[in-house]
Amino acid sequence: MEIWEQLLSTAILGTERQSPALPAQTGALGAMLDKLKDRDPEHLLLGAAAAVTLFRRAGFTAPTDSEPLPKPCADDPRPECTARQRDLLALVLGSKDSKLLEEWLTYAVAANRCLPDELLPALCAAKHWQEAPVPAIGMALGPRGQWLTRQNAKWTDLLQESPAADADWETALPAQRVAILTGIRANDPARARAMLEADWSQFAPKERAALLATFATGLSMVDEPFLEAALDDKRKEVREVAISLLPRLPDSRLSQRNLARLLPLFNFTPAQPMRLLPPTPARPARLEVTLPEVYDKVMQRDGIEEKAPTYLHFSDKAWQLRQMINLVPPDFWCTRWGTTPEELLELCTDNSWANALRSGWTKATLLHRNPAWAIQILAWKQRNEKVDLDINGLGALLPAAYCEEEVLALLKRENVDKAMLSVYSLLERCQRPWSPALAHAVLAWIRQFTARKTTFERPYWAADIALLDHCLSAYAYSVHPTSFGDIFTILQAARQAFPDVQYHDHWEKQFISAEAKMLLRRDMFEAFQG
Amino acid sequence: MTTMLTVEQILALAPDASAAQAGRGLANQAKWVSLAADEQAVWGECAGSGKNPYQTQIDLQGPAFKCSCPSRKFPCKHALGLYLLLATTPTAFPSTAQPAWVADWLASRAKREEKKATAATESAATQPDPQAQAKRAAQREQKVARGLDDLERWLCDLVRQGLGQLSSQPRNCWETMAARMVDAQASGAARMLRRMARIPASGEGWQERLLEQLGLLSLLIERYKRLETLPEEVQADIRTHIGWTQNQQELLAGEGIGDQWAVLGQRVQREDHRLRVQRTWLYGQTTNRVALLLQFAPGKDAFPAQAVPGMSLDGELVYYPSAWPLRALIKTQQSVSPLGAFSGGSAGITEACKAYAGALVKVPWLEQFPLILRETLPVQRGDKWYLRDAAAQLLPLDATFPYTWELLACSGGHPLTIFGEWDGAALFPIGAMTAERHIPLTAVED
Repeated sequence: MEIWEQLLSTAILGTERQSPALPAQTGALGAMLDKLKDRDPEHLLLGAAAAVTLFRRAGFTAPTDSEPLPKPCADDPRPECTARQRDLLALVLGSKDSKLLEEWLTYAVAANRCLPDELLPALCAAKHWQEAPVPAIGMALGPRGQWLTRQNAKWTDLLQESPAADADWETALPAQRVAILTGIRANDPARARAMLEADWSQFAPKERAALLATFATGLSMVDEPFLEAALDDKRKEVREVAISLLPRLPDSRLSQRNLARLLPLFNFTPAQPMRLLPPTPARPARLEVTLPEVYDKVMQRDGIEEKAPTYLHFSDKAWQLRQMINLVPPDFWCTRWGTTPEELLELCTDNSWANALRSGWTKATLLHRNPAWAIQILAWKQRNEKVDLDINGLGALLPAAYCEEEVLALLKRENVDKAMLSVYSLLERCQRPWSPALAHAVLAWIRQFTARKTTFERPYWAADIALLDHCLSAYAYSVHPTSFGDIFTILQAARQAFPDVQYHDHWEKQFISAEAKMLLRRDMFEAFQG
Repeated sequence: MTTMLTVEQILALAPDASAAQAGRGLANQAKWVSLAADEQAVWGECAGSGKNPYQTQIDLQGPAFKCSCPSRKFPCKHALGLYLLLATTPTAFPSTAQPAWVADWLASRAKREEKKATAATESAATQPDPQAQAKRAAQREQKVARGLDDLERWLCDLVRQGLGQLSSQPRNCWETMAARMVDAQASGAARMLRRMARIPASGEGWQERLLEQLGLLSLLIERYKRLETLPEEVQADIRTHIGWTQNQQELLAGEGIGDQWAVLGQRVQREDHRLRVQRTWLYGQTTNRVALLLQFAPGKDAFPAQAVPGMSLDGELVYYPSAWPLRALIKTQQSVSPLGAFSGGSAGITEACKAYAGALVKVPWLEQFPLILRETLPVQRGDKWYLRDAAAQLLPLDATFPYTWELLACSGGHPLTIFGEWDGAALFPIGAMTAERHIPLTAVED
């Protein structure tokens, strides 16, 4: 409004620098301003400011909206949460604890309850937490939650995890299409592939990569031609997805090509026992490896890079060898040569290309998800700590039963050594809720560890003492809510037995935190029982 | 009259978010060494980090809280936890005789209430000397007139030098003038000045907002000068805005308006570092009138629980005299029940704005206009939020409103009735209603 701008600029400069010159106004405002004409400049300015302010406020005109409205969300057929369940969700969302949230969501999905409306935004925002349970959140969102995530660009990828009940393939968002395709792929892989092939050229490259990745479910040789064609795609992301999927099919052309290149480089002589006639000494098995000589376009197409990255200490050819070994399932070598993984790992100790071999087998284990090899590699690494081998991610492959046995064995040991640190990562892998045997063993260990005064006198960052923190926290999260046992009495006894130790405050906080978690889990269990 | 509050209402009594969170954590039977209740009060002992458990008690009429923990917050987390536990599992509270520490406290509270009542009746009974009263009144008028003259001169100086100079002035130039107003018994003007003091630091467009307030303040001073020529209700408004207070006892003796008053929402704002104000908005479902309950609390103290959003109060209210009556007091309260279906409010934005213009004519200094809009949808255009009515018109929402996504989630694309405070440029929602229930959007400014 022109007069307001005038008044504002005069007010900012001050009437001594600029006298208020008001443009003429018509109507009621003009008549009111006329009455102020005879005043001194300051009163004129203030009076006019009041009049124009009231005029503007009273005369507010609302703009008209020209954008279309989104369709209202569908009704949720599920019953609502009880007040207690809603309260617990609010408490968990306030605590920012991912594990507790996952547990609440699992209960809610099992009890088929719809989520409270006003907590949906906080729940969607929880996808940014550390180790956020994104699949659990996506599963629990009902029609209203899915409607809400569609409105906010930051939350749309939650739709990937939601069962896409009401979405249409043509009009869906990219994240939703991934969800739809994953759903169809689980039941009818051929139909999913047909749908993808039909619209393949229309999708954006990132979308193509995500959609192609859904082939991981129900992968079979029928998908092989499409994937082989994807190796020629212009975008690297799409090629990478094809390269990660094809090695899982041993009969695929990529695997065959790779084996054809690789087998001539290996020369394995099996062990020979001692013989009396003719007298021959026992000879151990031997493995001879030669490096590939040629690098050609076919290898490049199959995803093998020519130059090694500088941060890894491989020569170029060793790097190519490693990548080729990566593509072959590790069991192949065992069946071909009749050996076991540990033998192979021991065998290549003296080999000049030991690094490439071991690293290649490790990556192959990860790609082909082979638990037996994972166990052997981890065991070998424990025996040979000084050797540089990246075992990141192998822990995720260990089967739960194996982890449980390992933990039980480790906890029985008297001495605390470095292997104890892996107790925590093993505990993470054990199946939740813990079996009674495991819960009992960990409880017994906690009991005897907290009975010692030295526990509370050593600094809590010392490796062996930090273990108590880990075990207590794991216990609080993983034991079934009805069978906590006498953990509370143990902690209370520990508190009272050593009130004057140096690190008392730290342990007090840890105990309170663990107790609070356990009580909350028990409350959640009871709230969803009735 | 004791009413069982819901969990949300109990949590609304918490002084801040961390107390509410801690209170929730304590609403657990395992944490309480002993629990008991009777009709009048609830008490329990909570294990804390000290040697002895803390003794917490709640007088259900009120409610009033007392706890032996060293926390300064009021109500503390133990009191909140105890009340929440009562609301969720009332069976955990066996009915036993009151121990000494509960009975003593309740007795002392009863005595205090008695004393207050007798003091009130005494002060009403003693006839103030009419001559002395008249003399005091005249003295006050003089003081205020002188104070407002000074203020007027100060405002003119400010405008003469220009608002641009303000950033180089020290902050307490406002405070000195506000203190001068308090001395002149014009505390309303002092409050307006203190609010204006925060505007220069409030971000983009502050000069506009400050100019608006300066204009309105000078209008107030001007009107005061010719107070006798104005109608009586307008005089009451001007006096209230300058700082005259109404005698609450006198008001309550007047005639009340009885109705089912729906408590639509509440907002707490910080006036200055000493004082917080709580505005509770009521709507009479038969009389279709809006009422405002105003409460003040020092520092970080909690407000006494009066009317809880989402409930419907059956009782009588007495309005303060005004050209557009808004502020009221509860005279009598028969019963409180959860709010059912609600049918009040404007059908569209144009209608609501017309009502606002009508109110502004009567009371130009109206800062918060109660706006109820039916059949609206919260929408986001760009990064700003609006309410869209049935005629596809948009009403801007205040940028500081924190619960826009919660509002959208509760709407889900279906229209809601939304209630908020309108200041001529933006709406701050305070409550919403779907067909089934009331959604409180209480925003508390720390």
